[in-house]
Amino acid sequence: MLNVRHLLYGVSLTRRMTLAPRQVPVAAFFLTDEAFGVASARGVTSYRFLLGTELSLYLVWNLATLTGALIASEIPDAESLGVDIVFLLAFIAILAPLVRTHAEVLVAAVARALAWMHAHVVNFGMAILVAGSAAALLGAWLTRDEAPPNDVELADAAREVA
Amino acid sequence: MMFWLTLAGSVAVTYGSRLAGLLLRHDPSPFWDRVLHFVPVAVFAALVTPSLAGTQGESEIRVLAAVATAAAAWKTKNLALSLGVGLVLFWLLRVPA
Repeated sequence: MLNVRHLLYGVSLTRRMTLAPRQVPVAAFFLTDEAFGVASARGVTSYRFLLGTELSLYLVWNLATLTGALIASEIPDAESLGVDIVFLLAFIAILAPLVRTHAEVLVAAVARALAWMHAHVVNFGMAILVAGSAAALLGAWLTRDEAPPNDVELADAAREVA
Repeated sequence: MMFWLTLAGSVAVTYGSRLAGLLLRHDPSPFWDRVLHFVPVAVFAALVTPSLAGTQGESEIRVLAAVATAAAAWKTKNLALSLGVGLVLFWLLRVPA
């Protein structure tokens, strides 16, 4: 159940782009947390850009893993260096620019609280799935009277500001 | 035999969930559209939670590094730069210990 949240990623991505039948299996194979996050933050709307995002992460991940495996004996104790914080910081760097409105701040806070509560009850993957789905539903309910979100335009506006 | 069954099961779940999400044709109702808009924010906020404290009793330093990374990312929208800020701060705060 660790990876079922990728179901949400896929559905979320189909909002922004239409993939041809032969593109779907490829895009699915390389889909990761990071690729989805970057694609969402950058407002990626085409298969080419999605695959570029996915492949650049996939390639670097595997090359770095190989490097790590080769030089592992040279490093005293990776765990004591606290390197695992890289994952946390990378996810936070992806998350922060996505939080813009009051509703998004609230959704993020609720997702965190739910994940924290569920992490003690069910496994990690399940906690993320439950917390993520519930908080997203809450967000939709909170903004029920607003105009429908247009993520493509939002991303364009963000790029112009930057 | 057990090994191959486990492997096949892992592949089915790992690849299956990624594939199914992209194959599902979502109902383009405004409510569902709003739900999906909040998916990235909700899932990433949930994802960072379990690992925030860490396992080595240095949760204060980790939270400080996390806050600095978030501030840098929010301000600059530069992933590599924000990650660098957080990492440097984390290791600077860690050295005296």
